[in-house]
Amino acid sequence: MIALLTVIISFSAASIIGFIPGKNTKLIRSLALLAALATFAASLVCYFQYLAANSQFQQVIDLAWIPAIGAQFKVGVDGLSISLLVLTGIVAISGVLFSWELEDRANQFYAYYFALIGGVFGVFLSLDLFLLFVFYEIAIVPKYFIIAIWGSGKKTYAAMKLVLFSFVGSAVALFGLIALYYGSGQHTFDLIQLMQEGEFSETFQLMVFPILFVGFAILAGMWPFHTWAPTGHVAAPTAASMLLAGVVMKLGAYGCLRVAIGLLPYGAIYWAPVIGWIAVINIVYGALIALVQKDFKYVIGYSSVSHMGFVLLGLATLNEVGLMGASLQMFSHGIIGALLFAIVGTVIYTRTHTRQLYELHNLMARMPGVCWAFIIAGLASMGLPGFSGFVSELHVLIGTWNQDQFSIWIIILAGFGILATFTYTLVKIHEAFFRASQSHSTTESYAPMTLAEKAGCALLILFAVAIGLYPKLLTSILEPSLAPILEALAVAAG
Amino acid sequence: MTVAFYIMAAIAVLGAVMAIALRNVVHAVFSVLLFFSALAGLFILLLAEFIAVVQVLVYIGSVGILMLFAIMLTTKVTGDPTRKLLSRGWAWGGLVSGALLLAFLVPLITQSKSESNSQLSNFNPSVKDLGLTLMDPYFASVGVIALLLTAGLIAAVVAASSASGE
Amino acid sequence: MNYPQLFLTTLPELIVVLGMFVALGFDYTKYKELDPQTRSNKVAALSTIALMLGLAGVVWQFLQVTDGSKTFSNSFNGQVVLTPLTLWFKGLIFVLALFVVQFAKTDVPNKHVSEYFGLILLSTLGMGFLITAQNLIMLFVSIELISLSLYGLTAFQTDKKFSVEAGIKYFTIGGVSSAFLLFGLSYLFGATNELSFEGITAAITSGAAPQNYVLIASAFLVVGLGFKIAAAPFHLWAPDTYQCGPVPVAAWVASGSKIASFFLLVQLFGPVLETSEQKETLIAGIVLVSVLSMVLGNIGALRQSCVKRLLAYSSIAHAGYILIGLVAANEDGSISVLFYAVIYSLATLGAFATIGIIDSRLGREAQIDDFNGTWKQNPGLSILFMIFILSLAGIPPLSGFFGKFYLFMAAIGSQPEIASWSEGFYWLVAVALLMSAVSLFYYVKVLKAFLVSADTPKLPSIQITKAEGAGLLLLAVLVVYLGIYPTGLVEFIAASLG
Repeated sequence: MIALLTVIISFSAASIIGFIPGKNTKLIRSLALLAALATFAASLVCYFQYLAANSQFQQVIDLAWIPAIGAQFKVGVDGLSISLLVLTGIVAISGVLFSWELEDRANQFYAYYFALIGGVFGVFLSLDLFLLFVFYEIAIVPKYFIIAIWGSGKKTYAAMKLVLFSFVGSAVALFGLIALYYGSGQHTFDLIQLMQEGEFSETFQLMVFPILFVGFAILAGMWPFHTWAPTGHVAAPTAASMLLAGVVMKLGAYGCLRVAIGLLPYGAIYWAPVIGWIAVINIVYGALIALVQKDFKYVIGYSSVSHMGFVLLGLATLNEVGLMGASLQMFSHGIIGALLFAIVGTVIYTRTHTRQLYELHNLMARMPGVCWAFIIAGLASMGLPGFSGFVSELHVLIGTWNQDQFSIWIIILAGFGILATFTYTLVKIHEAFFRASQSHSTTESYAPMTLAEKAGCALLILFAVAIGLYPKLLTSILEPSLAPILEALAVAAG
Repeated sequence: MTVAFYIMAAIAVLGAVMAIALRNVVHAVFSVLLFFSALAGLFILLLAEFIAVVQVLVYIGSVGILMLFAIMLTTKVTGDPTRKLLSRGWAWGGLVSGALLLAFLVPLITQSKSESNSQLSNFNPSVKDLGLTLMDPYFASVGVIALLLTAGLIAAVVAASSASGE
Repeated sequence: MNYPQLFLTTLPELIVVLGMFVALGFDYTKYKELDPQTRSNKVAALSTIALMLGLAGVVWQFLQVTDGSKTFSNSFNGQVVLTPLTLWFKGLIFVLALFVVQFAKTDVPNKHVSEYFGLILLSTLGMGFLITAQNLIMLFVSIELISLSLYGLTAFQTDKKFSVEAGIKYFTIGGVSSAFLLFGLSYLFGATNELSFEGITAAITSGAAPQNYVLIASAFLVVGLGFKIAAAPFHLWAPDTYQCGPVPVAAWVASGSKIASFFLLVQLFGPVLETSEQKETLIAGIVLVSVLSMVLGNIGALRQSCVKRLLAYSSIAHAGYILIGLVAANEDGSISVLFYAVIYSLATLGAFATIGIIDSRLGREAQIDDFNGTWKQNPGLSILFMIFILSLAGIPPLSGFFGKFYLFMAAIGSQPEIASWSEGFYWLVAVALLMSAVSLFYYVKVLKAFLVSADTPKLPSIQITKAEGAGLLLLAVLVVYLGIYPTGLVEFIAASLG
């Protein structure tokens, strides 16, 4: 029930804030912060409860809903979903903190914001595929409005592109879900029942797995369907970029792991090499494009694509270490991606009013606090030891090494991807902060970070470091949740 | 019988086509009347004398005359002779419908066993039976037809009184 | 004939007819000197009362029928069949008509106030009769009643050239479609020698009817009814009719007449598609119509700037979606068709009503650009409109989503195991999903104008009447409720179909 509270709080917050007159910005943002904190608290409670009793699924609520199509209202959490609930809570809070100054149509902003968050929570909670899909689609429309109203640049184009990609992805996934319903012979959408009793023939798995995987992976930014991500991230307002990069892309990865791999292990084994290739293309391509971008936000956008490649690569390994790495990377990139977008999109932009790297000069001298925050985030994103990125990427690489189906080139390219990540991160940090300009010799300081910004940065950095130093915080809850998937994979591998 | 049927049918089709194709409205009305009379002939062939008589009385008699009157009372009697009534696509339309007819309808109809319907042989379309059928089992439908006429009347009132101005 | 029985059976209709004549009579005598708006309010009030009393009659009949008492055992050879299902749908039609009357009363096109409402009431009765008809004669007569009333309503603005043009277009094409329908019906009668659906079904199932004739009849019926539901390629009348007729009439054409037509399609084709030897051919034909409707409707809607026209194309596309449930040719298919017809009508009625309200206040036909910034002055209206449009787009948790999902489930469920892509209906569902994505583009485009644009609104703050507001709100609540909890309605339809 506590887990379900996250969804209830989000949707209630959306509807209540939506009806407060837009002028009361103070009331609105306090309420928003309160709601975000409440969801975070609820997810933390779930976390500790799960630690206390490590069973398969907890807090399962199972209500009859639409028997005509074998759908029920069934929610519950395991370690995997709890890690993502916590992530969503963190990003939701920091999103509110980094939109603290937002005044234009604040009530509508937070209405859409929490509708989106509620949908995301719902996906992570659902144990029924129909319910999962409903929440998955609920999350689509608010994204459009957030980007189209509060975004910048080619915002309507980017918003429409994002929505159409998401919708097409979900439509493809829907197709797969209906096939699952009939293919299982069970005529149910119950995820647990399908996992335990669904008997999917091998040909069925071979045919349906790519449909489901691609359908979900479109939202995870899989190459060549990633193009919505950079444009969407760049055009979105900061809080939305944070949510998109931090959480929404994880929806897709979560669907891939829980539904596609979890239910169709044989298909997963068959297609793993292909996914592996696509994943390294994601990594390398994203990193290389990030290297040549001039717009700071595009850099971060493509780095997101690159990092999601690690998630996909981890998924494709199909072994314990790799899947663990993928799950950790989801969390890690959620935190770090959000932090990078927050600093670039809000902290730097509100002071310099530009995102073009060549227009930024002497920032190190003019806003040292911000620079250090970004450098920490950048190092975390590079995967420096001590940060969560290191743990997760290491896991993924070890998993890749252990995956026998992969060609040696996948490992080499993944290593190259890490090098490329190092390169673009360092190059861009240099371009943004340390480049002195001859013509602009001004050293006038920018305003220091506001309290809200400091709090947001601190929160995100805290979690990035905490997971980096003590990964057991997450691995201990992820291990039991990945076990059944690995078991199914072992059975399918015969 | 069969020969008479085909002659009647040919006249009916001819009348209908001419009604559409003719430029002069009065001529068009007369070809509609031709169509109606052929139809009446067909009814006689079907042993439905009463309906044939009704066809003559109502359609050829009143409806036809009504149409002629309507045309006489409106200003433009003949229509615009410069405009071609047949649009350029008529040949294509004719071709397609002809093809459909040949490819779809004719084979289906000729293939199927067309044994005579046993129940139809004791069918007696007398006036009395017709009246009884209408007023007894089909009273509900006749009621709806009454509503249909009301709707037509109301629509006509609106159209007519607005056309005549305030 | 049992006349007292007939009286009880048609009691709701008799009440409404009586109400209509009372309204006409008052309008011609007592209200003659009043200004049009007052007359409109009074006549609308009378029509509302008539419809409510009629609805009460329907509810009474419904209770009697579900009670199991034999009050309405006589169906008059299938002319008026009262079952829980038919009565529920007839009640729905009356309810929708109540909405339409509320939306219509603020903007009567000209001085013929009572005629306007009279025709609305008559078309309502036609739809009710069509739903309860299981007899070919009654079927045709009630379709004609609907059509004739709607022709008249479409051309009602006789001083406006486009309204008359739309009316004539609708009339001509509708007349042709009626001819097709009649031809098909006559063949059906010839093949089965039966007028009641029951007898026809029995004749087809037992194989007594020559299959070729049944096929010809069905083909012509598909064409004839395809016109009525505005499915491509028989859709050409729809855009003009929706755009140029009075808006409440367009709403009525898109909602009430759609429900009635789809109900008929299910009743008439359900058994034929399940049992006929020729069902492969027939299904192939309907699939073709369905695909054409989805493609032409959605592609056509993409480039519309007039919202009413856009909704017209979207209604063509929706006819395509609904036909997917019909070709499933199983019980789920029939249920999903009826369910979708209901929720589609609710959403589209709401959308048209909103446009109608805006059009009438704007004094002209609203283009998409005219809605820029509507959220500033009319936030409530914008939210309601968003609900209707998102339901049409099939976004959860609104009912359009579940409706579509159920249609797709039914279609795939008719043959879930396939050996190649062309078997079963996976490919058809794939087309439908793709077209849904296309449709999202134009639906979002409309919503963008309403909710995104920061331009100064062209619309002033709109005062909507209480009746309009209540109507819109109720429709929105229904759209949301049936999306979140569709089980009640689905199970009711399932139980009463079987």
